[in-house]
Amino acid sequence: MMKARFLYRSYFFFHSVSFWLKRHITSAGAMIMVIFILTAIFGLNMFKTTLYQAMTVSFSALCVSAALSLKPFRLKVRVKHILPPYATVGEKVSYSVEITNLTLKPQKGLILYEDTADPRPDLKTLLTKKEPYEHIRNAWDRKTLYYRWAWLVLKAGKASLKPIKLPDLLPGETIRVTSDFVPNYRGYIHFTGVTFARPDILGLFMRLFCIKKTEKLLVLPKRYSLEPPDLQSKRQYHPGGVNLASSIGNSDEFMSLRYYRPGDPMRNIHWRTFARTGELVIKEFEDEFFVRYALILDTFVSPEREAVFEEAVSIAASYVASIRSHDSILDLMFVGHKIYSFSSGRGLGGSEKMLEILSCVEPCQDKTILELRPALESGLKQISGAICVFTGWEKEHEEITRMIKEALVPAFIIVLAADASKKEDIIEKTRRSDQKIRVVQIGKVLEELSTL
Amino acid sequence: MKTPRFFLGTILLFWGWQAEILWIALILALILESARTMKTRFELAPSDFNKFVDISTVLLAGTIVVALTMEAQKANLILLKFLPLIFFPIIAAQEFSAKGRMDIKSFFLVARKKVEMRFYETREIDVSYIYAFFCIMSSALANAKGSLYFFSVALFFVWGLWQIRSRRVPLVGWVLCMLMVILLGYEGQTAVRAIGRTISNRIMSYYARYHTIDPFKTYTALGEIGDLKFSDEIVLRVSFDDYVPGKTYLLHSSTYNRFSASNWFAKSGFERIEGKNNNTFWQVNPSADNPLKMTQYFRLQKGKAVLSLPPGVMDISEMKAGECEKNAMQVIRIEDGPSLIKAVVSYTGSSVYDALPEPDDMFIPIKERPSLEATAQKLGLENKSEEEILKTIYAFFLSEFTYSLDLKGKGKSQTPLENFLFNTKSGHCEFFASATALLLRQAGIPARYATGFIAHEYSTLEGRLIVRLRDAHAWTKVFVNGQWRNFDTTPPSFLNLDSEKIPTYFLEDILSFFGFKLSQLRHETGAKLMETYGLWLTLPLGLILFLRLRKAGQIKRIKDISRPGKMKMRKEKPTGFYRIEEILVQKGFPRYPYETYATWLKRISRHLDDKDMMDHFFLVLEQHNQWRFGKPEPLNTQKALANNW
Repeated sequence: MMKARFLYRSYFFFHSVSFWLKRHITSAGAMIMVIFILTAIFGLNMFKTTLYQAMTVSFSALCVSAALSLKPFRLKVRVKHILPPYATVGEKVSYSVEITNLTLKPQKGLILYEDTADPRPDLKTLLTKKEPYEHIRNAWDRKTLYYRWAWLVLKAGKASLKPIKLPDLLPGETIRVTSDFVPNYRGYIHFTGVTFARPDILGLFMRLFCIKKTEKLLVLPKRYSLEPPDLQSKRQYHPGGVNLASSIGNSDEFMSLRYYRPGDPMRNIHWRTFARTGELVIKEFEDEFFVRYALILDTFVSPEREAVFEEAVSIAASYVASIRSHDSILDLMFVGHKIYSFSSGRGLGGSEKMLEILSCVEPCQDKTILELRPALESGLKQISGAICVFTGWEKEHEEITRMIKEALVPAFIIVLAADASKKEDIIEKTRRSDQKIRVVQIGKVLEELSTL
Repeated sequence: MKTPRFFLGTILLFWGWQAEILWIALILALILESARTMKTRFELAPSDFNKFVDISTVLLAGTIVVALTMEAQKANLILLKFLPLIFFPIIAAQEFSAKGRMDIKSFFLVARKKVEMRFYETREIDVSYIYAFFCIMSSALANAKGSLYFFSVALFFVWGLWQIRSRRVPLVGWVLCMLMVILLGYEGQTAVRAIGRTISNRIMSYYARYHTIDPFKTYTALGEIGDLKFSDEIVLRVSFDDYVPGKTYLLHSSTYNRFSASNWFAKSGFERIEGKNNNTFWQVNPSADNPLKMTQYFRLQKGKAVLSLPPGVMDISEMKAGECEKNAMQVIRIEDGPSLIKAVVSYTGSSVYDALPEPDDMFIPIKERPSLEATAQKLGLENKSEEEILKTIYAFFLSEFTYSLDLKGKGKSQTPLENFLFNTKSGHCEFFASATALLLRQAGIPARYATGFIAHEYSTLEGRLIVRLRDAHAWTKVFVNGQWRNFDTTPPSFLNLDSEKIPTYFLEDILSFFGFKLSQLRHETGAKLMETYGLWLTLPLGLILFLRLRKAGQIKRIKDISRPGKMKMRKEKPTGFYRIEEILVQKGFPRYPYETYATWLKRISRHLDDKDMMDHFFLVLEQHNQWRFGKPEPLNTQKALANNW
């Protein structure tokens, strides 16, 4: 624990130092610093080489530049981000920043850095999480936890945002600059502000001016253009319709009148009868029948199978995006800290909400998919079809499959395999199952699922 | 960031000029600069870059091997000198690649292998400035006198920093800052040089005072040779043409002529000997008839050595050294060279070349005078001839003194020498030699104190005489009959006593011989092979290069339209509308990939209130489309419209 704490503090400190250096020293400044260090080492023997002369030039350049960069830097600008509504993992996102110079002084040669939330993990996360390739790293790498730290930092950062070189900012002028980046991980990117950097005359060191401004951008999981599976499902009876639907209550089909029972909604009171008789009578409507799908996502993966999990989330997101929400309801079920079940479609909230949930879903290591059984038992009666995205094929998966089959619910089961050999193994294992199961190798999702 | 045009070419030429390989540098510079002019580019994948890095690694390894074989002492300097040549494949690959940057992973073998374990983004770097720095570093090895190197480096700094200068301040401000940098740098290098000299002098004086094995020391204390006698390490391997079993040779290293407070000093200055045949032949003294020959092998100490030679050295051949110097007392010292040195020495066998006697050769310290006068009186040296004096002194030490490695100090006497002459009457060679030299001076004969080795042990294993540290010896040089000659009064039994006292171990000798043979193979045979067949080494290197490049045959050659050059196809020429698009994108109105120009203009027209301008844009777009998909004539009209805007 002592060692881990020491490592954590060291990484934490060096991350701060490297961040500070990156913000205060330009790449040219870093190059000159390296030149200075190398010439100081190799130029020690002044009687054999004249390298010490290069050392003094680099040193004097650094000194002059550092002295020049001491000049204070203040700005009065208005900054507005124009962010797209969503971003997607692996796809280039363009965004714009509008900057208005509120002073009477022109600003030239500024560099704009986007500030995002501190990506450094806490000690507990560093100790509990595992990076995807940890199982194949050597003992030293595993002991030092460096790769784990680097992975957690990158994962929390979601994407690396490039600094933007700003054009000249004339007094009172508003400029709009565009930049792009490619998100590497799904989830929210929290923008905490912007930093304006002003390189000194020689261009080696920078002075900074920060503006706080909170904004966020959701990075959705990677999605494939998959057709929703034909589950040959039928509409199911849903007593009482869908609660919380846009038109509250049951369907509009009037059925009969009955006496009021406590708990009946006020809006269904037949006021005319009440006026005539003084009795509270309630209007009864037809219950609804409609198609309701369950999308069961397997979140139970070990850290080394992170890629498989990401692919599973991508497939789930692809189906969420492809199933038409106006004529069916989709229930997304998975286990995180607890059992989660979300519904979308027919006015229950758009697929965007579900994609947002999928963007933030994390793998679960301390539970099994059987945790979903109670939720499935009660829900299977209403479900017309199920899409299961499994990250492996174990007894628990077989159990869930059996449950779905016994409930006579048509199911579309996808089992993901990390590579070709694993795919063969899973095909062999699933041969015994009565259900039709698609085994898909990660990285070949589109070609394997499109040809079904 | 890319280097400015002609920057790399100029820096390469500077390196070539300083390293005296201008024609090679010229070729490299032309190749690199042509990359900026030519339109042809190669589509290099990261794996292709790996191949170029591998080629440079092979070249680097090859250079290290060749440098170590040729001149181990200067291996690092040779390596540094050829850095720009070694890393040329990498910079050339980058300059001719379509990307113009290299994946940092290519430089790390481990990172390359761990490609499947990567979760981080690819980091690409431009190595042109790093390469420029290598050129600057290599040029420094020429050690140019004056300020040429400084001002050249300053020029390259100014040139490199020019493109990143801040546009906030006027040019004059930047120029003033750069002048300040140069001025500070110049003053700094003067100060650094001065500090360096002071430190170096301090270190040298420290070594001169405390470091007993410095071969260039100009004094020796009584007892130093006695210390050496406790080691059986082999320091010299010698073979004489006139060797007969049982014969011993005095190999002279240093001569001292002034004695004071138990120390011998030499104040004779050294003069440089001009090396011939690529610094392998050294004419030490004028040639004489019937020279004798001796071959010896020895190792340098910290890159320096004082040679242990027979008397009357005329020349030394087959000795590879950087510097060779001698003084008037025929002390010869060398600097720089391979770790194992071979020397073939031609000599006369008599000290004919030693400088004539000086007042110092007759000097006796006041403290020593009473004891020496008493001894001289006792021996009755006053009225004897020179030859008789020598005989008397030799007989005196042989009969009344014994050899011992135990140092007794000065005891109750005034000086250690007095203690030796009157009380202990026992000591090692240094006492015999010092007492003899001073006694001879007392008798009016110029004498000097000489140190070196006595070669007496024949090794059947090696087939030559071996000299160990314990064979270190001191004797007297005496000037009689107008000539200097060696005069050794140490009892001859000392060799046996030394051998008894310091035993040798056969295993150690075998190991030492093995080490010697390895060094000989490396420096003698290896160097010869390298000189004769060195060029053939390029054959496997060339083969590796060929194989790597053959694999790289799949590299695609592409045309880079963004580069300047003559273009025949008019359709590749950027039109006025592209310029409008560029400006609008800069202003924050990017065109998405799915948008046509027309839809894009429609979308952004909501943000641009100027209707006339939008109409103008649509007109230019119409012209553009006509040019792009129809006849090329309207280009001028379109340009004119774009320019108007």
